[in-house]
Amino acid sequence: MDPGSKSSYQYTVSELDRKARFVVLFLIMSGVFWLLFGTLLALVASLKMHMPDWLGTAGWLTFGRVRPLHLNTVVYGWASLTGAGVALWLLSRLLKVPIMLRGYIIVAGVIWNIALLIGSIQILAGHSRGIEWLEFPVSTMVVIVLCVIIMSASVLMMLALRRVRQLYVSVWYLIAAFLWFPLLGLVSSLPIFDTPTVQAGMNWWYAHNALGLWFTPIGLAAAYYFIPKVLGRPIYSYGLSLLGFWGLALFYNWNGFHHLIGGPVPTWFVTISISASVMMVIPVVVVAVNHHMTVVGSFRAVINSPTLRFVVFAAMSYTFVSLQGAAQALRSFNEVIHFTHFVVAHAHIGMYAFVTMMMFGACYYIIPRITMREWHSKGLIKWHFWLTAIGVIIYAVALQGIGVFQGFGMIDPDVPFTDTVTMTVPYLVARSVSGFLMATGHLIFAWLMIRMVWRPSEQPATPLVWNKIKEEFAS
Amino acid sequence: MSTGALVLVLSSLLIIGGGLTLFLWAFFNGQFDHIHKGSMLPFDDEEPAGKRTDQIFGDDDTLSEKEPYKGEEKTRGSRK
Repeated sequence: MDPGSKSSYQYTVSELDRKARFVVLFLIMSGVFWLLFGTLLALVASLKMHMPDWLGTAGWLTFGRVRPLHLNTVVYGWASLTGAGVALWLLSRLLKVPIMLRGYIIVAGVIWNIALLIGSIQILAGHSRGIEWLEFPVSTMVVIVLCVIIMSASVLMMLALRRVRQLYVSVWYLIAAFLWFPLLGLVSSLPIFDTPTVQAGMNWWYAHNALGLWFTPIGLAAAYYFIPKVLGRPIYSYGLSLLGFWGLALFYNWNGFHHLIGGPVPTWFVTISISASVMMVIPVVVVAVNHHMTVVGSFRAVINSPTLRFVVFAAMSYTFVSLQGAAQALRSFNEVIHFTHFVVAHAHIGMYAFVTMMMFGACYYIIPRITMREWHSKGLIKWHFWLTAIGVIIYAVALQGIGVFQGFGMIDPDVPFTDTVTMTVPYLVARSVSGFLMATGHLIFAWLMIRMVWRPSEQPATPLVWNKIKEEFAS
Repeated sequence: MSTGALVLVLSSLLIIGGGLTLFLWAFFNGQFDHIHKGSMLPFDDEEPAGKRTDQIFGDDDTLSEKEPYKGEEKTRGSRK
């Protein structure tokens, strides 16, 4: 027994995984559904960029509705639901206690899914809030935040009842994420941002922090757990890992205002944001060095592990996108790439190459352990990895490459504006091709997940849903 | 300054203040007293350090001679 533990009874890993099974599976499977739906919307939106007349006669399928709905479903459906499932499983493992309030979390998950469905219909019907990352109506956002608060209560209970004394760095990240996101969601839903300028400030304060203070902590927590766990070797420097966490906690939350460079906001707002963005280089480099030094010399183990293929790709993407973000925050760089496809690609490197790939990797580790089953096909996992990895690389290279030329064209008074639009068309086609690659990968992943949970001629791992929910409330 | 801008500034300060409060709690709670042991927290008797997991694309689930893990102290010493 750990001499520093807070209680005499120690749960075994298999006990914890068994208790986590239903709630984690429910959250992740819900996330997979929204991944497929969001991917379909992404393909439609991407094709419309170079085929603007396609599906143009139906109002609910116009770009202005499909594209925001893609963003909102993958952010609040796929990444948030799956991220919550991964986070709760990690906390259960690292605090050595079962996930608390499991029945309430399942009910919250059901309500969360219903809210997403209603919010999706409202966006398609033209009732978007019109704020990037916050297009869902306020009612939908408030419901989602309340569901996260229930999970936060579970996290705090697990913390209070933990069977270990010292908290691993992943736990720090996850506790912070479950405290930060409710604050972001509630503040952004307040009816006080009534002028365009203040609303723009709130927009980028929220959107940038949703990525940096909700998805990034979950992603890094997963990396700090899975890299050492799969390799069987501890993280290179635990002290550096803590420095990375406290750096994120102190520097990140002011970053978002750099999106308003050149906008009608007080200069000091933007200047502080640029400074904070550049200071983020410190925790980012710390994390990168730590991950690299842990993995170095174990390349074969990375190749042999489906989890680490995705996790290491995601961790490298985190370093790349974060350093790129710090550079983009500089006024000289920003004046070129602002309003170009460069920024769109940057956002996708963050939310896809980092967050989504990290979630894929986490699922490949977690699902076999909570279902006690092995993946249906190793070959399909490899296909999933290569399709999504190559897809997002093509996406990033195509859009960021043309984005730079587009930006220089837009600030050159001798270049007609239409030229800066038409020059991007071949690269928008490349984006659609990359989208089809990623979509194929998602279908493979969904098929593997479905085969994992429901197998013909076998007893299901999670039988009789309502009885299972009753058991969760009773436990 | 408008109410909205003030709330944004206060919320940002709350996040930073919360981070500092957590840091102080961690410090006085002894979370940094045995910092070198922190890296071992993902491992336990059932899943110990030195044993690879998730190697489904290969048969090798033990560390090779080129990359030994022979206990916490030795590893830390060799990586200084």
